[in-house]
Amino acid sequence: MIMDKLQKPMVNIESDSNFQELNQVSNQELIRKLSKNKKRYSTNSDLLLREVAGEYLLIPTGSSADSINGMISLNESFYFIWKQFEEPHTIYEVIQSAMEEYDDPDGKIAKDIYRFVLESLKIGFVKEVK
Amino acid sequence: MDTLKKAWVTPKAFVEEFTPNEYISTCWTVACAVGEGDYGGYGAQDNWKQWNHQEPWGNNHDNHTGSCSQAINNQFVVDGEKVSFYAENNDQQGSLNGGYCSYIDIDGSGTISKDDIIFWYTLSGNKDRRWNHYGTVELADKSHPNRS
Repeated sequence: MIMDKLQKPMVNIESDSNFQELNQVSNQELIRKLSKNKKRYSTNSDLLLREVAGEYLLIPTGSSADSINGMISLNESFYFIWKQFEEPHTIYEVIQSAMEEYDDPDGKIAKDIYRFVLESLKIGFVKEVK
Repeated sequence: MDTLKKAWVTPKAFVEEFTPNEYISTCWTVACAVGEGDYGGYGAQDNWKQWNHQEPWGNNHDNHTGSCSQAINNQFVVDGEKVSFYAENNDQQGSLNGGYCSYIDIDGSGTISKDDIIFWYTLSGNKDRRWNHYGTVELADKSHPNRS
């Protein structure tokens, strides 16, 4: 074994208090706004996505390995979003893909994906594609 | 049909930190050859080219007689053609971060292999010291030369 058990949360958008304002926006309003946003994003190619024994992992290589001392374990939703952004996409496009794949009775998909991008931009997991 | 869709769960990711004293398997190992400051002609006189022109700094940056001189403490990750330095298991300072810099392809194989020379660096925890390392690649398990 080369890893310890789960350590610290890397991205946990559910509890991030930075998104209080976002919680004031309705799901439909957010989707409407994002549909007009043509910015495209893609994942950091220094982070290699692997599925090992049914678990999804990001393996830091290159410069990302200097700052991340381990591997990154993902849940399935994170994995799905990551796969989408391996090719440049707008947030809206990824939301549409997720809605085709997942049931969303609580209207969380759009906000979750939007938060994913905002958080991932901060830590260099994704970048805007010009 | 909605009934066939999977349930959405808020995306999350966690770092699984490596334990610093365990060895990460690659098909090769390398011990630092610098010793007491002998950079083998690749150092200042070569303008530290193999380390991307980054020279070492801080106290004892020329002292490589400790943990790095033993191959098992220098941990690299190899994924296909991508090589990265993971950490040095230092007996005095714990796990040291750093980075892989370059290699000299002695046998012209196009990939890191036995007898090639590789160059990497490590940093102290508060980044006030940098050590530049180099060494000659050895096979980790000579009975399985192709297991990588």
